[in-house]
Amino acid sequence: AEQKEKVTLRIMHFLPAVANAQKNVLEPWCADLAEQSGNRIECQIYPSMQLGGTPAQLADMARNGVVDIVWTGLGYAAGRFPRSEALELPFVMPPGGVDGSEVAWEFYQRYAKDDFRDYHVLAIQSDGGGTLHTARRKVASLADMKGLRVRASTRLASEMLTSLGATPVSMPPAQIADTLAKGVIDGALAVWEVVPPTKLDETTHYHMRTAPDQATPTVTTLAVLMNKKRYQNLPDDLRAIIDRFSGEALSRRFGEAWDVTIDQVVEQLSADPDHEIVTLDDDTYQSMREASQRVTDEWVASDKGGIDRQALYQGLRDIVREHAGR
Amino acid sequence: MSGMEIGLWVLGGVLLILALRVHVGVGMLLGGVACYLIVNHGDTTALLFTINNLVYARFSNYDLAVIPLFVLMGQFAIHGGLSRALFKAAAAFIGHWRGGLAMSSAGACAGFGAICGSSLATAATMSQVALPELEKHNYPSKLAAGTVAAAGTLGILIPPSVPLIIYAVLTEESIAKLFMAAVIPGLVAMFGYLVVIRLVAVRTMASVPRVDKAGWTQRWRALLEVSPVLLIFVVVIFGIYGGWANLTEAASIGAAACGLFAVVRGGLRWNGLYQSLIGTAEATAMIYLVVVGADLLNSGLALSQMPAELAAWVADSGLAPFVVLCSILALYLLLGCVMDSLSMILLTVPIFYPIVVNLEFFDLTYTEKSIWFGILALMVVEIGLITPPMGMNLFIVQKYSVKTSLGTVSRGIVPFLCADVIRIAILVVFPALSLLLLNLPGSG
Amino acid sequence: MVETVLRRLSTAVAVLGGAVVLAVIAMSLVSLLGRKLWSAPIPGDIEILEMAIAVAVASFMPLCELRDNHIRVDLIGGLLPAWVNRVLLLSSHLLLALVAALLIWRTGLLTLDSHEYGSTSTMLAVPLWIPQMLMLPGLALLCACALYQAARSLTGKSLQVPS
Ligand code: NA
Ligand code: NA
Repeated sequence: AEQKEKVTLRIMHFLPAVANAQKNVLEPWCADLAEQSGNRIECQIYPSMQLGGTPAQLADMARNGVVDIVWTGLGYAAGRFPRSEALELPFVMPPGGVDGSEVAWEFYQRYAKDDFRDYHVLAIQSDGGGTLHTARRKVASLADMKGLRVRASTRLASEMLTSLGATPVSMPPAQIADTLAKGVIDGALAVWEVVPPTKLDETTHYHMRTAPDQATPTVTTLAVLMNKKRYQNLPDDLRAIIDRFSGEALSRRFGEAWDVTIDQVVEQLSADPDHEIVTLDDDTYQSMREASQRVTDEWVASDKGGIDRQALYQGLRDIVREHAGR
Repeated sequence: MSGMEIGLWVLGGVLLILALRVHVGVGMLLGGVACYLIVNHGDTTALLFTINNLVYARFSNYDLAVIPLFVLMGQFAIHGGLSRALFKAAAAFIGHWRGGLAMSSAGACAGFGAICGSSLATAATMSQVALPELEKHNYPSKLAAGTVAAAGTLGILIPPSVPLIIYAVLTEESIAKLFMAAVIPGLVAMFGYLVVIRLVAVRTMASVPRVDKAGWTQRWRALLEVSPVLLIFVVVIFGIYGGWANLTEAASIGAAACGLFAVVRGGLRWNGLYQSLIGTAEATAMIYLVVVGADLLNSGLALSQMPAELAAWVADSGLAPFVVLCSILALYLLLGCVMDSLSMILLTVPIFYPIVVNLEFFDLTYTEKSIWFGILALMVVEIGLITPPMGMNLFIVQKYSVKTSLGTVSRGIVPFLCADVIRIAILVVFPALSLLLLNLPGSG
Repeated sequence: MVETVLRRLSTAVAVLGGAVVLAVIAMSLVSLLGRKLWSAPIPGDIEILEMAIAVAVASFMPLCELRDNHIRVDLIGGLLPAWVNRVLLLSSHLLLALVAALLIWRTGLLTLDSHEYGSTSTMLAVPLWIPQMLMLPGLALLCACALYQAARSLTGKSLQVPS
């Protein structure tokens, strides 16, 4: 009998090896692939950009075949995935890892495939939605946002903060905790999941979130992208195994891992007298949503790249509505 | 071939071509190329597209950006007479001792290290000031070069410190706590260097005439001259800890403050500014060419799986915690001979960190272990800067000291390496030295 | 003649790079003062710094090579006859020129790629091909200087540019 071909998948991402994405998603996913293939699929995971480059270059690295698979934020490579930007518009996406990821995957399927012509997409994921963590000032109304120096990592999130009256500040992730503790910045816009690793639980005391039935202020969309040629050249049976564990299944898997962590963090902070979690009431939510509408309007008005952004936005809202009705 | 074999062949090849006078950055880059070609069986796709990103990714790195900023700060300090004032002040107090001027160089390095977060910038700055002085006073070139190369590492041993920032990023640890923890070990390091200089001087400098003892008037004047450094120190520290700036911005503050003083007090004019910029260009360029080469070698080694195989070997050995820790530290010392410090941290901390923090040491808590190992990692990485054959500080000192060969610098560094190893042993046995300041009330 | 041209060019480029560093320092200070005092930092200050420093560092490279100050290990040079050293230096400068050419080629491709795909910086949406392209002159001049140094080592005259 002929020797069955073995493959090694090189996977790179930008977070440390201890991160949720590697420990609770990528490693178990690889274990499944290995088991189903009788160890003919093996993964080598390179955390913390160990093979060089910057997070912004990750997507290109998968496209060019530097590695086989990357896990990256779509917003890091600004301008590369114009249709998918819709997912990061203010107050559109539902909160939660699984819910957000299902919507994101559906949106990709229906509207954003053209963004990814050069890739084989293994998963599209929402990080569950950002919440506002502040050190000294409690934010419970739109007025409280005024002049607040908030760390944000993407352009749309920054524009959203500006529209709410806050001041967006750039700060490298490693320095968030220290600069918060010393008052260089007042707060950070971040998903619950990164609160312990970035030490926001030690440096902030107030956490502003939206209610479960409200849309989140902003999300970061992440994706697992594979080199297209590499995928197409896999032996049929191995490709079938990867197919079975990818797409919606892998997107859900990310969402679930995120939800577990999000629940843990929220539970822990709720029980802690040093922390106060503020859930927005409907009026405040509406006022913030209206204030940030101009960010969406500006995005929709652009026809850069000949893309009908109005249709994308409308389509995304439809998916969110359908999803809520399920 | 296994990762170990690839790694050993490639590193051996790199050492060989470096001995044949190929530029260090070029040699390392070619080593990286070799790793990629071997691992990918001659396929160049991954290699070439990795090189696409190489230069821009490294040159635009925010953490590395402190290097040109600190180097420029050093240039202003040189051309404004600040680093000389540091040296003179130390010399006014201890210069008359046997080996006193070398001790003063170490002291000046420590003083500069308190505002500068980069060892390379510290070594480059103090080389230009201290080496000529030591030469003038007939200090043996081995001692002079060894002193500046070793004491240059105080730039990172005394906070602020770039490697600690990288460690904090990788382990999600607090930068402020790590800096706090590094203070006592940094002072211990300086003390160790002073002792070494004293011992070496007693043995080798019997015939060298001593410098005259300075009177108190002279001492006060020297202190007055150096007071700007204190002011800059306060400004930088206040910038960092007073809620004004992050660390890269603090480097900007330091550079601006040194520049301002150089203009106001040191008489820096257009020509001096021109010289400062040229000096910055050269020191920055020589560091970054190595950084680029090291980056490709680093990813090539990661691709070969050599570091992972090494770590798995240590982790699976089933040895007692202290034996594991000591093997890891020994491994760092070995790697440090051939790898650059940033690459070493980037490659190995993700592998060793989980091993160490999950072992039992003196009933330390998780955070304590994590901080303690951070300080130990800083120390071994620091040693990597001064271990021959590939030690950045050795290269830099040799560059600025025209008459000294790398062989001389390498021999001169040996006693300091002994001091370093003893210090690491002390820090391993007494974690309290690293954790003391953290447990003070009101800190952290 | 060639030397004069190369020296003037690389000095000018290095000083320009230094001026960029000075400008970056000023920008950082303005941004942190604005942030602290009026909650008004310069938007995207971090990415401005990153792009500017990348260009500055690239423009520092040639002068360092023209003065032969890029780092080499000189362990055995003294033990060898002059002609062997000449050959070694010739090959090391040629290798540097070769590597510089490789970096120009690949960085050039990166620049084209960024242009084609419309890569931009995160906050300010500055097209990334601009800083990437601005690194190319520095790298090209580095290559030229390395070739020149190779030629010099062939003639055996070690070049000492007064500093
Ligand atoms: Na320091
Ligand atoms: Na070394």
